[in-house]
Amino acid sequence: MIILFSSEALHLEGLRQLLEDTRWCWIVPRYAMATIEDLCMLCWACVVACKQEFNVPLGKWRLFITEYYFGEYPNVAGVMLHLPQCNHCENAPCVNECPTGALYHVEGGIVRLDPDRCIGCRACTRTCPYNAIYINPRTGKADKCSFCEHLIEKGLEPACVAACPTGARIFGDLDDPQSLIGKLYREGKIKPIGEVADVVKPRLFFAPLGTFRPIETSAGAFQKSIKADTTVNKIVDRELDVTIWNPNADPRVQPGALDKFNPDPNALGMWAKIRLSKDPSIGELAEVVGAVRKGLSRAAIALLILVGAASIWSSIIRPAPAEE
Amino acid sequence: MAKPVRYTKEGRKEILRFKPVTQVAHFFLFLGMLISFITGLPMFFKLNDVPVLIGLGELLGLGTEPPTSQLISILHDIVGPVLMFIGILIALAASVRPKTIREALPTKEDIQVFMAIIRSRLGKGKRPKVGFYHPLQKLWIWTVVIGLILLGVSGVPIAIEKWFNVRIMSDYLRGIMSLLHIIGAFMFFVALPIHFIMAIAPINWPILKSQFLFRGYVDFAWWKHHHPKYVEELEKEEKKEEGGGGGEG
Repeated sequence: MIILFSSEALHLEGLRQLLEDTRWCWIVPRYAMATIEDLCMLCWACVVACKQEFNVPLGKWRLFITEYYFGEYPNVAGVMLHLPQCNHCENAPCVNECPTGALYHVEGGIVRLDPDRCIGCRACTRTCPYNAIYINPRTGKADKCSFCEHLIEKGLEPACVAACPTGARIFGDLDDPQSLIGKLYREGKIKPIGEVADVVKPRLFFAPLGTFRPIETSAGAFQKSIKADTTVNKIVDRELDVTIWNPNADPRVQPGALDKFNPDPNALGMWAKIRLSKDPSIGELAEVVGAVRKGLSRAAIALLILVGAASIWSSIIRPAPAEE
Repeated sequence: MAKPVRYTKEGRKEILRFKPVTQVAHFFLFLGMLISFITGLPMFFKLNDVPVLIGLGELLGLGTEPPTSQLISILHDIVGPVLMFIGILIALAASVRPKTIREALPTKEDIQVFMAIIRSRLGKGKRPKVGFYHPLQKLWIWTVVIGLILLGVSGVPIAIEKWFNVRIMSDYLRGIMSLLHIIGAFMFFVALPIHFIMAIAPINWPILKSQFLFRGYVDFAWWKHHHPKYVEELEKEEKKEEGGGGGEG
């Protein structure tokens, strides 16, 4: 008997242990990766390890460190994001867009790219809001981070995580009560990037600078006050333009990635920019529209049932009326 | 021109129901409306915010929530409306005549006829004589016409905004447009299933055959049974023509 579990209920330590001990069920992990920026010292070991592991062609990257700075001197703060890297989204736009089914979810939530099925049409590179997919110039097919599936299977850590000397990169099961990433996730310390994250639900998280160690210094000219709030706002609420420079950018097909997103991309796979309206009357109207749709749905079903019943009654149950 | 009355080789009398042009227009409208109807169903029917027909949507490529599929977008926004537009153009250009509109206009008589039909269905009184259109047929025609106008007026700007990534409406207007689209959709979700069921009902098989086999003519007995008033009018006209012809000769 195999029951697949992947729910919030598994955060209860006892329940998960009980289920695992009984061996009646098989718990599907929710693999995720996170970067703790307080620990990162920008040694680029993760990027090098990734390049080495997969022999990534020159000029293309499965994983990169992009640094962003904001504020005015001397009160300058920076964020380093491991982008572009595949976020292994739960509601992945690339999986929805791929015309051949080369991109699909496997157990654990990893988005796998099957190169045998890929036709190199670039639908995924165009759709990915994080610009994580690149076209491999050697094969002409798409390629991206695989969360080092071949290593996870053997119980090893992904190459970038194993290479990190300070432990800034962490990897594990979000539902596992013992894993570090699961704990941080439940405490809300790590966050996915962007407004689009509400829609696509990525599995790549960041603990922004200042989350664990607020920086308060007035040494010399560098008067800094960096708290998690400010950096979180910068990377999570999209105040930062993360499209400044992107190593995987394909000038022919790249739209402005990681810009403000509409939750519904249009049929061409383009993500429209949204203007959030602050007019309260719009909200009222939206409620009216929802209520009307709900009411009319019910009315339509009720009317059809009524008409169907009437026609059955008048044509089958009751004999036909007499001719004139 | 198709004659209103004709005789088969066996000598059976048949009366025209669909002109060839009307049939072509109807086929375009049928295909377009069916496509837009089926793709629209999973988007419309949400009970307590649960999309109840999501299975139908998955069948058509609407696998995700929010829907991001290309197939359903192309079918609902482009293929269906374009087919319908072609059908409407053909109908307006070649099929619809002032006489047809006059026949479809609602009159006070219709209410009396409809009440008499209900009374006869309840076993009180006899069946009244129905003209070319049943009163409910007239209601259906105008429901669909108003629904098509509503859906067209509201759907085209929404589709333009969606496909060309532009903003041509204010936020408030967009809300009003979606409201109009919902109301139009409601009219169709009531009218179209009834129309389909009526077409498939055994009593209407003669008319269904005439439509789908491109004959256009329906057996006289069917007309005599279902639309006796129209048959009487036709017979009167025939007599007049015969009488007039005899006078000249």
